[in-house]
Amino acid sequence: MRWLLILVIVTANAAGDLLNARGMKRQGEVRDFRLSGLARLVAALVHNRYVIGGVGIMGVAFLAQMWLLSITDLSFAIPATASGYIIETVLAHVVLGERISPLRWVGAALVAAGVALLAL
Amino acid sequence: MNGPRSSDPVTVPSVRPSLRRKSLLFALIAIVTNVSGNLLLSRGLRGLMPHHYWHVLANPWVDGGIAVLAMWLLTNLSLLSWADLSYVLPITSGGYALSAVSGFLALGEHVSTARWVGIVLITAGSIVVSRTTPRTTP
Repeated sequence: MRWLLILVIVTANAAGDLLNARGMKRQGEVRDFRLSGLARLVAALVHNRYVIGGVGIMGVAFLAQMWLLSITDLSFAIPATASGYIIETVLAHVVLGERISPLRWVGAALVAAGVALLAL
Repeated sequence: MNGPRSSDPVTVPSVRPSLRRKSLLFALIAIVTNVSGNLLLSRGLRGLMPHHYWHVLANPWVDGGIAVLAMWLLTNLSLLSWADLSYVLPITSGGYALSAVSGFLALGEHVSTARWVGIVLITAGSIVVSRTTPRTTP
């Protein structure tokens, strides 16, 4: 069960992040951070299918995470989350066309290794 | 920070220096709201039965946690509106480190050597990625 939950969490987090990234690029750079501007942003995002889907899927990931933590402990849950950094960096390149410089690869690998170590 | 960055092979000429500053500020807000929102939520959920919806929603800690996590969501989406996903993910990962450090400082929890090394690696990785160009797509 717990491996199934890990699979759901990593997949849902990746799908949610990809959808949100694409949806927000279509939305355009957010520049107005006054309360009225943020209200307009939220009103626009409600019609953004990518963001609706992205936030919904991240909700699934959140619930799966709560479930996982209720049947196992953090030291099992965290290393699996670490693999997400590598998987999502690859997907950001393949799906979104982002250019991953060697420096960015090094940074992502350091973060993934660091998160994995938190379990010890 | 200004001028040509020859060390970064994917520098896009149109990147504004202010884009990096703005990204780092928002990453900091995302980290703080994520960690504090989760802390409030777990504090509120402690001892509550998850299927008692009304008790959960009537709990001020839970409501505060949800409000702060809504701020996190808006901050993260704003970041993604101008920066790469492969840039945003590592630079907002400091939350893991912050959780461990705050557990140590506030609750006096024991932090193992491996965990301290992990915190250092996460911080180093975030700093490395923050030196790359925030946006590489049109």
